[in-house]
Amino acid sequence: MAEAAIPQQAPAQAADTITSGEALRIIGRAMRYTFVFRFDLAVKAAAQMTSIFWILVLPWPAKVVIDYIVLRDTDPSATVESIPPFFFKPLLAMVEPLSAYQTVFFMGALFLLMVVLAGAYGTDGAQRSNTETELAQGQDTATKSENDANNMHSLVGGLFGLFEALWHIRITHRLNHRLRSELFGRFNAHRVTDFNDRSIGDVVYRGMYDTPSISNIIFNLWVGPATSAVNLATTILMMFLVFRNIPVVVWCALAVAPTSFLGVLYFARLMRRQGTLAREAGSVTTATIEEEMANVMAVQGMGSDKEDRARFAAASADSFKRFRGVVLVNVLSAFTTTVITTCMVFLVFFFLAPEFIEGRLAPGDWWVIWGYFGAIAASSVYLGRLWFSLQENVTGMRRVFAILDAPVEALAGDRARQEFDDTFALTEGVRLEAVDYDYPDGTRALTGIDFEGRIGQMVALAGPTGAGKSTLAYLIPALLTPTSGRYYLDGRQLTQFDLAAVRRQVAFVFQETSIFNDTIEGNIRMGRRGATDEEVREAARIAGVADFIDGLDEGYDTHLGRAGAKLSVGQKQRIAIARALVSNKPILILDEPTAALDPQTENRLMANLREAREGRLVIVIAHRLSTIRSADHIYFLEDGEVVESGTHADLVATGGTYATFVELQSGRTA
Amino acid sequence: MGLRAFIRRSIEGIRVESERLREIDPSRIHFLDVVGVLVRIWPYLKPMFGHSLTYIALAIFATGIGVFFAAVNFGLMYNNIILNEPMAPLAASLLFLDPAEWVEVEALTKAQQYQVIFGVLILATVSTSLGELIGHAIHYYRVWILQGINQNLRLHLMGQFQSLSLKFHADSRTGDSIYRLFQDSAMVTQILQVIMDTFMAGVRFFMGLAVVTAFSPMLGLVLLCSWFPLLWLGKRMSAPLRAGFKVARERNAALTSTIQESIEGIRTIKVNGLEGERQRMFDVDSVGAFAAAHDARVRLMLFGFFVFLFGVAPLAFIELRAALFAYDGAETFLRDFLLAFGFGLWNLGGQDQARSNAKQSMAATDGLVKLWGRLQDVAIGLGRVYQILDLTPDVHNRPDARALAPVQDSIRFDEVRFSYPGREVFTDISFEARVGEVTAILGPTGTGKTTLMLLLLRMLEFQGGRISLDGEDIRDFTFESVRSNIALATQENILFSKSLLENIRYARPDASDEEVRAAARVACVDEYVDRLADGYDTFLGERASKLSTGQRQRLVIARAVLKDTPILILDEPTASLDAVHELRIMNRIKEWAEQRTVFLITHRLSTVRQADRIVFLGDGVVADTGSHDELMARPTAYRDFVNAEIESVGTAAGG
Repeated sequence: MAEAAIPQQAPAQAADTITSGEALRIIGRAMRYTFVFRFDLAVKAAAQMTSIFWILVLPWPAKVVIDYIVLRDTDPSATVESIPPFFFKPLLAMVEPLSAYQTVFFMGALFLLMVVLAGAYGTDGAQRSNTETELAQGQDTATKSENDANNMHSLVGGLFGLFEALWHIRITHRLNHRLRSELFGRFNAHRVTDFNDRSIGDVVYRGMYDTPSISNIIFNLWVGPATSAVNLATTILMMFLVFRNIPVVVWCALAVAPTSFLGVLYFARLMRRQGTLAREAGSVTTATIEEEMANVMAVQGMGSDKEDRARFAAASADSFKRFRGVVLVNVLSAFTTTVITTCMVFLVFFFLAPEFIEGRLAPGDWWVIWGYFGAIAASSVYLGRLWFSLQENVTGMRRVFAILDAPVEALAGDRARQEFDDTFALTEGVRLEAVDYDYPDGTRALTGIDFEGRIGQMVALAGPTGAGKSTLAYLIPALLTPTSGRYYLDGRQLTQFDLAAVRRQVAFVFQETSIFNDTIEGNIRMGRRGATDEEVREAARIAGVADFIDGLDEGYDTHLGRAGAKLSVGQKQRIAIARALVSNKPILILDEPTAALDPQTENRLMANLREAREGRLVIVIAHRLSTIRSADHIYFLEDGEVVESGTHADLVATGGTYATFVELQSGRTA
Repeated sequence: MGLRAFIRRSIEGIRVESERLREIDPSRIHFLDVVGVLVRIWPYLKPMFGHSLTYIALAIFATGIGVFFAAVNFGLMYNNIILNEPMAPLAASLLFLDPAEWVEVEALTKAQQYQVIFGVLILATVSTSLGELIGHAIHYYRVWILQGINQNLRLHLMGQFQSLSLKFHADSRTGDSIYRLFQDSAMVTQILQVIMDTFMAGVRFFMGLAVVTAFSPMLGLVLLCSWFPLLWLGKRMSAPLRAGFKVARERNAALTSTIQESIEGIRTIKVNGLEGERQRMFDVDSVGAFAAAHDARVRLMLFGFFVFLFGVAPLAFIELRAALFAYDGAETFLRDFLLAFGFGLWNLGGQDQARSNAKQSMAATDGLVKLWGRLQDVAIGLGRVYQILDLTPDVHNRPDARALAPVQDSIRFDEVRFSYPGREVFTDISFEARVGEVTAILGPTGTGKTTLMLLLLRMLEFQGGRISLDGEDIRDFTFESVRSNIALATQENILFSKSLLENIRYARPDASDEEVRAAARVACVDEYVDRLADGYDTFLGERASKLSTGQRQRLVIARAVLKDTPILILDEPTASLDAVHELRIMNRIKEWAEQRTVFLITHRLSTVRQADRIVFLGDGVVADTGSHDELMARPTAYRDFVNAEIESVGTAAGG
């Protein structure tokens, strides 16, 4: 019984909380995806570490300008306790013999060189750029994802930064493509029943806006920590070499990491919750748009634009609101980090100032120290916040993995028989024995079905609406598989085939036909790509659509727009019939083929089908007596059971339910 | 060019006139067009304008606090702690220190230097707690404002999509619409950023410029001239940038469509074993989208590279020249004024001030030019939104159109002509339908039965002839009022993912539960609802796949009945119904429709027999019209049709 007890399912489930453990597992799984790119990621990490070197070198030329030129100090190193690093000495040696003006000229040239190479000189602000191409984005998760899908993380600018960014975006793109391609493939492999309650908008959202989450996870797990660790180590080493007598600077900078981690730990859980809610609300909005667009005729025809606008407005407002939840958690955690970092800065300043007052450090050291402190603190903050930063992406990846893990349709498919499957062609027929079918939610749809169809036959399925005729037909190409009972093709159980082999046997014209955004010819040829032009035209002729197509300006090359909106329902159905005919498969199933056809077309089609049954099994679902009567065998269904079966003459003679049905029909027609 | 003309010119830059989408040509968009794109945001910004101003004021305040305290603190740290120069008067008064001891002295003592440490800490605490707190809080505020602006645009765009005729929808892809509503419209949120950044960049540039000029007019001039190469760069690069962004957006929209269409037709794909083919199509589109994004971003990166190079070269010059001034101990330009800050002569602090102010100016310029780069993407994105908003729906009301009162007498078609692009549908359609009658529209597949009804609904606009309601031209009435007089039960059973009850109620949201149930009874929906576990509250998925087609069809009929309008159109209402239900529903509808006009599109003879009047279409004209008996009495196309139907039954019986 098709209609009984459909599960109540709200479009968006409340976000069930992701535990830290699950978050860890998701991250671990995302990492495995990147293993293919380990070489590329290693190069990227190496490039990032090299760029740290640039950052380390940067403060020193500025020191030369300040000490030698501005302060006219000829030998600053003699008067202070700091020891210049090894690479600084050759620079000093070069500057030594030069006059002030010559020095300045030399430094100018050096600055420009550094700008071209690394996009920076000096320590801060405008003298430093990194290669980033964050594009404008909106204020919800979906529009942010575009930048994620293209992230390139480069610490420096210049030629070096360009190389690094290009290298990284290549990884990002390949990884994202791989993931969304896999996701798409997985969707295609889902059972048709899985799509009953899933909106198309949700699929779009997962494919387009959830998959980019992997970019950030990958960067934050491979490149980021590696770079930060090396950065920390080298900067600290440098600090100890130069300022070994004021270690407080280093300790304070380092303390930022653990305090940040503890400070934002609480927010991680909040973020997972808000992130999930935001993504769910976003997918509901997408679904609403998709439905509105697909159903524009009903919307306009019912004059209910206003209600629909309100519905869209509510969905959209909700997705914005949910995103603000994410923003709020971010703001709170960022503020916490700021407070922690600021405290550390205060502490350092408090300890440093006396060193300058007492003259143990040269004025030129000021920027060097803060430059290093900044570098250490930045790495510390990054590491401390790492766990938190990953959380929002975890919510996206979870939605992706949920699909990848969902069961796909598959038959037991004995691999050893692959060869057999590849060449299998049905020669005898199909048989169902005592088949039950339950919907995934447990609702019984078919009970104890015995059905047989032999090649050369035309079989009709008849019965009142909702009797389970279509469900029974869906079993034949294994769009649904029996819950219990047996299904034989040529005497072999269904479970011994692989899915593709079964599908190759069946052409199916669905009651509500699908037309794709392609030309008419392309749509027909979907049945069999190898069909010749003649075969396509022949199929169109049999389906009764050839005259219509020839009347079009562009004929078979006419492009069909959104879901064939340019065609009438009858035309669409006939194109779908042509598609099935051209496929030339052993079984042809037509679900209400004539509902939208006029009698002449129908008669012609049915006559053709009667011919077509030579070497074929034709299964027709119909309400029209004229169609049913011409079948070799009729199965009459009621409430998911076959109540009567036999030829028209037999059934009428029995005087059962079918006879009543015939009486009613004939009474109306005559 | 006056301001008004300027605005009009800038707004009309990306306008489209016709129903067909004109391509946005990136190379033909100019500076004014990009400005125009931003000016057009005003209607959506307007409701949030007060909040926007508040936000801007708060942002400036927070930044101001930061800048002010930073200036004072850096002075203290440099001149008073690292060096032991006398304190600046402003800092001294902020810290409540006696100028006699701190300002008007030769140098600070070490004891005083140690005290300054605490001064710095106090000031830094004040600035951090004020500035950071406000700064973080207004970030949330800003998101809220921007979302409001975006929501306004989204709703307007959605409304426009809904009011465009079916002609438009036939030619566009669903995924493209999703992309425009989601991604393209989001670009509107850049407006605050643009206003703020431009304003702040201007302020920061000129403030920096003023300070640098105060130190040295020559360096100020260098700073000013640094604009020219950047302007040239911006002009040179904007067209290639736009071209890149345009392709990137189109490819992403196409990819969205590919996903949407694949899932929509999943059964057909599966049964034809085309999963592999769709996968390849998807992969091509996915790679194409990434390639386009890559290309666009590479252009932006190169742009950024040159902007930085051109911008930072003058900065290095200024910094080094200032260092030489300090080396020479030169006097600053506004010596007497700068003396108050301790910069009468060029010294360490002075060089740093000149450097950091030049840097600030340059950062402002740099940011502005890079913003220009990103704006090209914004212009393309919003251009794609305006493209839709600028389409004139081909169905529109005459200026003097009035509301339609319920039709009392008749609906007439006179010599109505209509054609789709490239295909003529009607050359001359004339017939009359009377109130209280059931008029059946018949004809071979593809003769335009549904199209005829869409003309009556004014969802398509006819090109010639006249449709009149009670003798008055249909175009004299607003199309909204015409539609609200008609209920349409569509042939393709369009349901929404809501509960069963809500799906029926969709036609008239204020209908009571009783009214909904009454409508459900007319359409025999009640018969199967009782068997559903959740009854009327049963949730229907997007395609309500678990209802059979016949059950969905009855639901759609119930929806049309509930709308309770004077005119009812049933498009193939019985195609998927079995004989019992067909008869039952038709009888109930006839009973219900006593004083209404019912149009019935059908192929089924048994259904046609229920009609009072038959309009038989053939080849763009009305071939026959009359009652069943009249038409059967003489040789007509209708009679052939009926005979074919009977014959088919006969043949089947014989075969």
